[in-house]
Amino acid sequence: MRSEALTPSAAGARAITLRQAILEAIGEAMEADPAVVMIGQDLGAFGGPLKSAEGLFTRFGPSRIIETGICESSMTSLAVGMAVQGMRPIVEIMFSDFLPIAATAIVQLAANLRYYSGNTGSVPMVIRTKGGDGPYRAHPQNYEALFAHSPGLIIVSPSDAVSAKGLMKSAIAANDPVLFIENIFLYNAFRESVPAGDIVVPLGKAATAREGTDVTIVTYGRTVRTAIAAANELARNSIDVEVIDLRTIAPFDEEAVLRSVKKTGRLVVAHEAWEVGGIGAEIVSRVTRKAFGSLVCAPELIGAPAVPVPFAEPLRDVMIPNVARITAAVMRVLPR
Amino acid sequence: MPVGSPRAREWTLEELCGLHRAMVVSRGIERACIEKSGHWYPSLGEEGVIIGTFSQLRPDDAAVPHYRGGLVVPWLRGRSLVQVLGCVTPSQTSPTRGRMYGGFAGGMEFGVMPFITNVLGPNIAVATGMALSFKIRRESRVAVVTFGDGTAGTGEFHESLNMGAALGAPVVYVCQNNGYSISTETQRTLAGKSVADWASRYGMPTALVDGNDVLAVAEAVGNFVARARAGGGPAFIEAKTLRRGGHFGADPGAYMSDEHTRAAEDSDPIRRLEQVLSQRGCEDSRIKSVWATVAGELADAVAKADAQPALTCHDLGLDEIFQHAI
Repeated sequence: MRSEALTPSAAGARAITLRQAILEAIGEAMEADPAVVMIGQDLGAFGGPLKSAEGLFTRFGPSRIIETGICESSMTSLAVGMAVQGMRPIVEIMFSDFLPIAATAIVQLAANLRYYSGNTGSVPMVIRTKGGDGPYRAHPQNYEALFAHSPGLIIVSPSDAVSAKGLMKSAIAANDPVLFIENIFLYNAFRESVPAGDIVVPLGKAATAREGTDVTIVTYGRTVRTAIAAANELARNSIDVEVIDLRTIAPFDEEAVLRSVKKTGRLVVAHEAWEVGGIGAEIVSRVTRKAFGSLVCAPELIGAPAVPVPFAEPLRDVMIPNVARITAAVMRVLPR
Repeated sequence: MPVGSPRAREWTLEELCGLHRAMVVSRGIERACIEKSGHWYPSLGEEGVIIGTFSQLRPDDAAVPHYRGGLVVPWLRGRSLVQVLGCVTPSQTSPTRGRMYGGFAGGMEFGVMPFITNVLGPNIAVATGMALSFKIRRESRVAVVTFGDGTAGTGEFHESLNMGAALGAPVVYVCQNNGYSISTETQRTLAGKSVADWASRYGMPTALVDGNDVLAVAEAVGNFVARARAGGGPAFIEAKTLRRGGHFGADPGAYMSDEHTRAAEDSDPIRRLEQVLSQRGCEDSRIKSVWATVAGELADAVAKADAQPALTCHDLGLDEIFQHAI
């Protein structure tokens, strides 16, 4: 649980950003295993887009931090070739907007290989990308649902620095491909106490970010923090909200979600990505099929409307689940 | 190169007989597959490129064959004919247990990459990545990939050759140019002189060889594999061959020119090697016995593969998507 990991007395804990926590995980994994390499563009003197590879080139050199031309699709297939031959490549797709270029390599190659090869091959590979709205106001699309549809792919998106480090460690150690989405808004937004050395945050396991008894909010990434803020406001009116941070979006921790819904009987799902055909739609579907009897009212789903993410702030801000939208959704599932 | 021309290297009679037998097996496999399905993509007549290329690898080198003709490659590395045929008549004991289209199955246990994507192009990058890992680990292994002239039009072809050259990956790229991309003649959609000309612009040594001369292919591949193994980086070969018939077994290939069809019949790579064998004193009866023996082995393999236990709903493998339950 997050509360334990954040104990101030944890050995060697320092206050670092989510970005630094991810970098720390990659650096430690590369120190520990020469098979771990990173592939992408501008990872050297530039330090990676938004400093996502800061310091790594100096530490590990060009044979471990591999720079290629702009060719997301072939670069990802190249990494699959490396993974098949026993390496553990981390592919840096600069921004989530570029993910569809590499979709064949991710969906039809990396994700399919274990099954199609009759379990004679595997692809231990991490595809890192930065997605979602952020202070930079560019490359904001949230494509996780496109990829969540693919069997064989694990999708992760952390909401805090400790789980960011732990999840990246688990992603690198996994023998299956992991799409690791780093939320741009959260990248340098806060500093949290993160222990030095190994932190284990297993893939496929949700965390209870806030315990509560009245309503369950299931969410991930940036929206976890918005949901907690909403829950704290609602607590002033004696409404006790439980917030489930999925951490792994696909396959999501069905057991944790069902357990919480069975306790509260009321479900709100919230995320930054589009509602149509999205992760939230899948969660609502699963809960209504598997815990219909526990629900006391219809679930609520808060996401983006079906338009591409616009540029202007007033337009963009109304798309994203904010405290007001989440609070209103919680009120809708409560007795009037 | 005409029969009897001077060769780039000496070939022992035993080596020539080995190549001959492998080509006869390749053709036999393809004929058996066409009989099974009109949707099979045959490699008849393209054995010179397939066998000429993949016979020149060490067992620990990575083989990434083109979908057309790839089924024989794991056999070159020890897969039994029953298992080869088992790919196209999937059963509980067949490779991939019926999950992958038979002709695309590869054989990862033999270091042969399957055509996982069912999309042309990515395997050129996969081979480049395999080669790059050999280089990073300072292993003396190489990767060899074959692909068609149609695939040379993909972004992956150009991106991969660029990456392979820039990163100095020990990979040999072989274009199995059979003159047609489904129904489209190669030259109609290829700007420039040739695929080899494109490749040369990426700063790697290239060779344009007669793909129906198995020895010419083997010599070119052997040279470039040795070069890559010694740290010389990537190289490219365009092996010009001729597709015999349509895109798939039941495609009559009505769009193909008479000239192409005649040339394909006239330059059969197996017959051409048999002429070399005759010149080397190999008797006709011995050559004929290879055909007869292989035909018998294949008939036996087809029967055994057909008799394996059929797949059931239990073989769907819902829990074999990930290594661990997630």
